[in-house]
Amino acid sequence: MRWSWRADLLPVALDGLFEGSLVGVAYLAIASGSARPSAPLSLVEFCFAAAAGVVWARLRPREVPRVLWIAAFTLLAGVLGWLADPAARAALTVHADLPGAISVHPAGWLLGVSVIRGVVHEEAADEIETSTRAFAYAFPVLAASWLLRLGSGGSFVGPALVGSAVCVGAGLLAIGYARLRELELLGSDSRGGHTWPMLATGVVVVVAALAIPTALLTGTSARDVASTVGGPVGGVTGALFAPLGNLLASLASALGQLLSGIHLPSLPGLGGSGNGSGSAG
Amino acid sequence: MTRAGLALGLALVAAGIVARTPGLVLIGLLAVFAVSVTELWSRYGLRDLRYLRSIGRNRAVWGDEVPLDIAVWNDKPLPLAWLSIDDYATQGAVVLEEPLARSERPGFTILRSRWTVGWYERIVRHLTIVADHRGVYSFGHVRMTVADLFGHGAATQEHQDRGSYIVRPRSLPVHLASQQHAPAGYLRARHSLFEDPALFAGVRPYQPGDPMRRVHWRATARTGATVSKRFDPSRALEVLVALDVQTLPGPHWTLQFDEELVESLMVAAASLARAALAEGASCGLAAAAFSRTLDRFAVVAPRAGRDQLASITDMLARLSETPSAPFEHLLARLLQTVSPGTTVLVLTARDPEPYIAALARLDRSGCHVQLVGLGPNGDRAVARARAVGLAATTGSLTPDWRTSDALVLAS
Repeated sequence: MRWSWRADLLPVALDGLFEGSLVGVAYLAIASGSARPSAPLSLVEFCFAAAAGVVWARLRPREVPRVLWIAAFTLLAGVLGWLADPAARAALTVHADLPGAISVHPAGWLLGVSVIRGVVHEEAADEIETSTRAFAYAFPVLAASWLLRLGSGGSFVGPALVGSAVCVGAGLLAIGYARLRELELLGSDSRGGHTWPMLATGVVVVVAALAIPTALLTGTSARDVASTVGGPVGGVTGALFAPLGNLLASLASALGQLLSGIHLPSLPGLGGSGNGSGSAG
Repeated sequence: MTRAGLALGLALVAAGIVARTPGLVLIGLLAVFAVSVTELWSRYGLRDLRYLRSIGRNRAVWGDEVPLDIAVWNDKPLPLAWLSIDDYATQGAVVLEEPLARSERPGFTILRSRWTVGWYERIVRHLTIVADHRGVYSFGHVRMTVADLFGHGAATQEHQDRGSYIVRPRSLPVHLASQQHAPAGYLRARHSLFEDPALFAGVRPYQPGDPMRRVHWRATARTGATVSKRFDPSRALEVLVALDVQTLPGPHWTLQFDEELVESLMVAAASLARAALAEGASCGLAAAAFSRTLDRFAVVAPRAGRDQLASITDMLARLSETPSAPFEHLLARLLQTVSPGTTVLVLTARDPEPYIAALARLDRSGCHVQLVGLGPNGDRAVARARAVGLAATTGSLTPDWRTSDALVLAS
């Protein structure tokens, strides 16, 4: 039977949150160490990338080789993550300096890693094993990320705090959801589906009970957290539409030159904000 | 992951405190929480968890439905997302609402229940046992399993909780094709040492030695000759149903049997006992079959009364489908134990050739032996018995023992 993303939206979302926030925290630890005030990418992009990786892997046509199918998408995501930094784009397009461009924002390639982490959840039947294995090394990765940014404050702490809490909470929920599905297949009386909401509420409450006091201790405000989540959405939207805007602008420019003398106004709304930044700032 | 994860979590908490990094403390606390919750149910799921099974009654007649209630009580604040209870029942037990699963234990099936139980919650399932096989059925072994929600772990506990019920065979009215086909025990005895003063049968001429209270004074005055009261012989007869459970020819130990014939014999035996008891006779049962005891012979001593039919049908419910010993061995034993004058109804579904001599010997000893042949070999059995001078009738359950309305005795 062909996999249906509509039927399995919740586990895909949980996998995306879990794996994306895990890779995202690692990215923030690496990227926010640079001279820039904030990292070009945020947790949201990584969560989307991981979820897209799950969906991409599950939608693979049988006739397409798996490696090719996954590598193409991973490379695309890595390139997008790398070029999410305006400086990297400028180095590539203006100066045509590929090694220099790569060295500007190498952490952006972790967006491709996020896709691969999503691809790991390809088999829905093995979800418990996959999530449990990922959960086991999530803590060392998170701890290493925090240790990497030890003593640094500012732009890392708030998003990383949110990312760590989301990672553990989503990981637990992903395992719990998969386990419930497995138990239901064994023949469980799920009592009208009350178990899952209760489980989700319990996990969220406990994680929040641990995370909120920590956030207060670190001085992370609700605004910081909101900007962590809400800010990148605009950035993602812009990043999605930027190539289209640039393409339209180029077409318009070329058309203008073709019509010799007809000057078309620039399209600031399409091309101007498409830098993919503005996420955590 | 448990110990390593716990150690990692605590180490991170300590490192976070030392380095004054709340983020590390959070990671450590989350790790401790995750590890704790992974095995929460394995460790505490079975605590204060009770399983109760209640069988509506422990006796049923074939075709009855018996209520079965199973309840689980989670008497703790930890809810159980997945609780599996395997209740082992004797093979052949039938629960209407839940097909019983195959078991790894020979001779048992599993009544499997899967539950989601909240904290301090008690859930009762009302089920129905269908008594569609004669026999003794028991529940006993209970296995409870609680699964972890965040891992593959599961805690299992096993205990004994005994409960049983007996499915007795049907007992049907006995119809006689004619009075001459009535088994000896059912007819008024023609000769007896004792008379029943309740059975007044008329008057006869006075004979010297008659007690004065026996004289019928009003008839004497009317006729002018002294007459005495006459009574029918006492009907306090003993009837013993001797059941030959072997249905196929050959040695008794082959463990092969015709299930339909065996069940027909059981129904016929119960029916004959019921009719005899209804007539006021003392009735008993003897069979060369296992009855869940070490004894090779199953015997219910003849007795009158209401409870006797229950005793006999209980014994019939317990009887094995295959013989425990040659039938002639049982007859030899009866020769020593049954008092003269007892009517022995031999119920068989095969040619009685192997034990016909023992039957004749029993008859000569003073017992009234009468053979009732059942099934396709019934006629042959009757002919064989009559050939040696024994009384015999055929019995039939039409169309079969499940749906028949009566046991019909005919020549």
